[in-house]
Amino acid sequence: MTAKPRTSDDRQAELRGDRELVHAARAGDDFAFDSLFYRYRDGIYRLGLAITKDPSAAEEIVVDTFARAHRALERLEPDDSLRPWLYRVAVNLSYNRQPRKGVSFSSLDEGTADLAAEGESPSEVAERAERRRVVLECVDALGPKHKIVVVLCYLNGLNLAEIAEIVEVPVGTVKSRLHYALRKLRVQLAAHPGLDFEPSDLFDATQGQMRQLRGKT
Amino acid sequence: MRRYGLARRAHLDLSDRLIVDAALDEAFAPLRTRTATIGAARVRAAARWTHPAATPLGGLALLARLGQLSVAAVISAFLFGAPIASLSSAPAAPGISEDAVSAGAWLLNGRTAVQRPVVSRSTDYRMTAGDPADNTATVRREARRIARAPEQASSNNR
Repeated sequence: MTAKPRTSDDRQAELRGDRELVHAARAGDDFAFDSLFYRYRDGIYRLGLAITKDPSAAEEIVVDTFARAHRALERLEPDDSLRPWLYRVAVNLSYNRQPRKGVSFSSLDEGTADLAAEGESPSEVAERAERRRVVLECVDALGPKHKIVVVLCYLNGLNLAEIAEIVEVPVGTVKSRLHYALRKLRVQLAAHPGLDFEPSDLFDATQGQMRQLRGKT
Repeated sequence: MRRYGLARRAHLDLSDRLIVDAALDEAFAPLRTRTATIGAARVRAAARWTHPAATPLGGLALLARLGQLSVAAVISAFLFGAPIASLSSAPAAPGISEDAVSAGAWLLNGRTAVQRPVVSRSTDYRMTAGDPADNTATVRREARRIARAPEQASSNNR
């Protein structure tokens, strides 16, 4: 597959909104559908990769998501935004996909994490990679409801209203889940003092509560 | 400000929030640079493969389809009709009674059918070898008779 040179049609498609492209795709314009695909392909791929940790599974999720979109073009409400719909399908496909047996995947940032920035010493590179690994482990340790909110917010850069539409809950619930997830992450990160996550009162408070609970039992 | 109860448990300072924000941004940064290498053609192929477009048959296409069906019917009739016709016109096998089989008029030929024993004079070895050599029993009986004959003659003389 070779990359086509950018034409004036490509630039025009970039300027066209989702709604216009959906209308054109409904009318049988393959070029409009391709424009929608290239607009959201990478975001959905990253979402699938963050949940499944399997690049080939993430690619299959992209294909399945857009194949469903292609079939559902007639049923899509023209006034609704396409982005939350696509992400909702991708989230469902990612969580429904069974992990392949006997296959273990390494860290998501494999291959790019060890690239040193300008003026960075090898020890700093190693420490940065270790911090990333710890943070991603903490994100993985969150429950699925909290993890998906964190991933959509910090990886895909969606706002609270869009996340609420994707996970089909009120915006207040998304805020609450995000707050709970960040608090839990802060506590878990504070448990790694050697990784330059500054110690927090929150961690001390949680430790105090745990001591009190142990004392009661 | 000191917090108690639920407020204390749910509390997240701005400084804590900023630390977590920075850590998450840094952790997801390599993932944000990842891109898929799939083309739109693969998606279109997947969509068509799972749901082939059902096009209504036009007049000419309908005629072509009917022609195909009639040719298929003729070939089927030719292939399956001939063996069935030959089966129905085959001569009926003669009825064989159990008595005839047990009496030796019919012999099992070692396979799946019975056949009548060969009784022609030209092919039966008993006929071609002459009367004394009808079979081994006859030969033995004849030999015994000849052997006894001198004994009987001497006893008669006495």
